[in-house]
Amino acid sequence: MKPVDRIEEIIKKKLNARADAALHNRVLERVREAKAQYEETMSPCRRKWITKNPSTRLASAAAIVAIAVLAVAAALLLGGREAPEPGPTKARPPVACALRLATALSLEKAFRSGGMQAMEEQYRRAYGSPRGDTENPSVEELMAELETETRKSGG
Amino acid sequence: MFEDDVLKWKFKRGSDEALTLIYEKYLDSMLTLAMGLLNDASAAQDVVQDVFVSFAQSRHNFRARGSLSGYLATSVVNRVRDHQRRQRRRAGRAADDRVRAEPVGPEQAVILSEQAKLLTQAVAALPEEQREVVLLRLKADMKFRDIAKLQETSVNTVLSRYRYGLEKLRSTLDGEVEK
Repeated sequence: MKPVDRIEEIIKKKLNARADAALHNRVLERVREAKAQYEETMSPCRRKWITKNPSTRLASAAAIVAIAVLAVAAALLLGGREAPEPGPTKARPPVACALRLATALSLEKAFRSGGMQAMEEQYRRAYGSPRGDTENPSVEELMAELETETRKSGG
Repeated sequence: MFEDDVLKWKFKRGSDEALTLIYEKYLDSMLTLAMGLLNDASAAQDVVQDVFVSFAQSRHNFRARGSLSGYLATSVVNRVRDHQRRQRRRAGRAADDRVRAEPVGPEQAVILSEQAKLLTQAVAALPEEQREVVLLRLKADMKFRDIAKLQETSVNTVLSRYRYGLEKLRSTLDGEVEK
């Protein structure tokens, strides 16, 4: 026996335990079983892992909230475009609109040029004329009549 | 080291072969560590089995940035601490010391040479913290910084524990172990 002066080396090299074959195989079998069991229970439902892990739980909650917000925003956006207008308002044909506008303009112009009397005259021509077709006079007719009236009155 | 990185990578992807290779590579060194910490072959077997079983079930959460050896050694130390706490609760401190001083029985499945038995007993006689530092440094090749983290103390304290531990071993084993 020699005096011990290099204790580190001795511990490193000489302190060794070894499992015999039976122990080696027994533990290995147990380890493999444990892994197989783990894979079996883990693979079908990673949800368990998600709910156990606080960071994944937070991330999944954030994802759900984001999806919900996006869904609501999309629904509002699309719904606003597609929603029917309130009430059964029918779009008027553009020709009718133009006629009414022309009539209104001609009445206003007649009032300005000849006062109440001229406006009444113009109204009669537009709406109360004995001629059948004056019920729905054309824009050109109204404007032409208006021009004649204006010229007559010297305005 | 590179081999270990490959093994870790494969293990993370669920390779049974990688798990077996890791087991075969580290079984004896973890058994040595557990024996050194406990001086009880039966308890050491249980600890090592628990460590590898829990390792096998940890592939999704496994994140060993350092060495695989250090990771497994840390697991062994934690299991040994749990075992010792249970022992203390069960039988009290005095009984625990008696168990530790008992020699390893010949019927055990853990094979130790005569010299190794002598060394194991000498290491077992060290205070718990010194024993951990000496074994983790010399048998698991862990850095003092990592041991300090595990023991929740400073690197200087760990270095002192290491030095005192070696001094005690030197005086205990003086003339008893062949170089």
